[in-house]
Amino acid sequence: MNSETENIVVLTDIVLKRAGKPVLNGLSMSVPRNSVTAVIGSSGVGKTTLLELIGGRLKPDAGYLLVDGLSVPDLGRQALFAMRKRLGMLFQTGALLNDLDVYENIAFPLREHTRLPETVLRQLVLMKLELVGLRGARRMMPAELSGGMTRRVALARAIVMDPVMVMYDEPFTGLDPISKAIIVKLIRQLNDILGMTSVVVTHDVNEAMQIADFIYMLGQGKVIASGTPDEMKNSKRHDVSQFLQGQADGPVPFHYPAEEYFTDLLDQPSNKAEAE
Amino acid sequence: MISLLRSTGALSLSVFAATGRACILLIQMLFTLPLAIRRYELLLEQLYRVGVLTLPIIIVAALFVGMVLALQGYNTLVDFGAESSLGLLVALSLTRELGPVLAGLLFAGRAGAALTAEIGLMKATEQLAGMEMMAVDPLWRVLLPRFLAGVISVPLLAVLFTAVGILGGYLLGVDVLGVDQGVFWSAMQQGVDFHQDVMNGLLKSLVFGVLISLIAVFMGYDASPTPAGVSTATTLTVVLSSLVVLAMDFSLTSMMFQ
Repeated sequence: MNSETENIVVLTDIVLKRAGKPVLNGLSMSVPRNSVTAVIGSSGVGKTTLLELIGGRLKPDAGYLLVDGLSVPDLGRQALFAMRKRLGMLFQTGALLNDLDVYENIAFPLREHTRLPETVLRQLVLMKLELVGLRGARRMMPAELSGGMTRRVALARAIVMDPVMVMYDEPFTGLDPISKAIIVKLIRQLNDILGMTSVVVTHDVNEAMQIADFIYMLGQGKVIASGTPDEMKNSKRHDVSQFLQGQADGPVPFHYPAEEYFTDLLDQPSNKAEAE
Repeated sequence: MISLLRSTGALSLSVFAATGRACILLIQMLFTLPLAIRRYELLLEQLYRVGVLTLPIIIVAALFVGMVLALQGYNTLVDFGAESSLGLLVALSLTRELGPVLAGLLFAGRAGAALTAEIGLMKATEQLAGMEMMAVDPLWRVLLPRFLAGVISVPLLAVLFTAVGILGGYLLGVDVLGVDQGVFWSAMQQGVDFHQDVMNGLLKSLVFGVLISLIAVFMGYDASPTPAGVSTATTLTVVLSSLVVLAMDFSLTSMMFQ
């Protein structure tokens, strides 16, 4: 098997600039099929950007990006949309459509892309709802759902078209411990039962360690460490252990860059910078 | 002084850039027209929400405007013994100016602001991004039906405004102030020209409809996806579309009624 069929996503030397500053700078990674791959890193390190690249919502300034054998940046609008039908994405906020209830939200992709008879459509929706344990909540509106339920509904919607790959953007953020555990269990289960590939972008180290087959850690716009959860735990690198153990200070400094403390304190505002 | 110049320059540049983006958005939306036509039920839903729900404010406002016109017109005309022209005065003011302009302004405040807020919130809560990732283009699924609904609604609302306004003028002029009924209507029938007055008024309202709807949809789509961004965009929609309606009204009037 060559790497192209073994890996569903291959990124090579990706560079992406935003307002002149590189967000991703020479990032290379690959996502093996039928596995759960976690991408971890501090907030603002370009993790979500990575998902937007894979989904074709952003184009890289340089580098190659293959998803399921297709070069995403070169796809035309039609081909891009055809590819997206085979991808599922779970947004951090859930991104449920406010004016539709739970049932209709999950039915939405089916209604837009297929012409299934109502009975079949109903069965599909109920099956996905059963998977996430919310069959009883089908007539609730998004505004009535708790954070955990919102994410489970969004998850059901993400898999309703039976995608080959699902991308999760911070799936654990802002959830209580029980909801977190449910999402962890669901991601693993769905991945194994439905034979999908999962990419989980997160800064929740414990959950990532539990769930992932393989972990990439991003920093300064590139992969700074990668390996199985065990390999990551035993990493000798200080920036990796600082992140995994959640230490406030270390290679990633506590202070945002600023001028020297005493000079700053003794400086009169009228003197310079701030007066401008 | 320099900084004033600089900020003026920056402001003008951003205005031109935004106008450009709005035009590009319009063209992109029009390209998806066939898709939107196939899903006409989306348009019907928006016609209800944008058009029908604006009816109450339009009707009430038109009634009062018509009555005020009749009252003021009567007070002036009666000094010259010309109260027989009251019907003509009311009808001409409404068909040419007040119908299209006031319907446009009210529409901008009621429906335009709502459209911007709705689309802006959908953007802020990643609903538009979510749609794109589900391979559904928000351009035709969300924006185009709302835009078209506005374009269709405004002329209809303007016509209704005019009709109800004339009715208001009739109620006050004939029933309260005692202008003769036959004189009221016949003066109107003789003085109002279908092409010159009615059609031009309709044309005006169509132009207003396109502009207001485009501004509303664009502002929502272009809003920065934060609560502050959405509220700014909503305010801008009302302010800009009101100004554009009044400015366009002047230009159109000077072209149409020379």
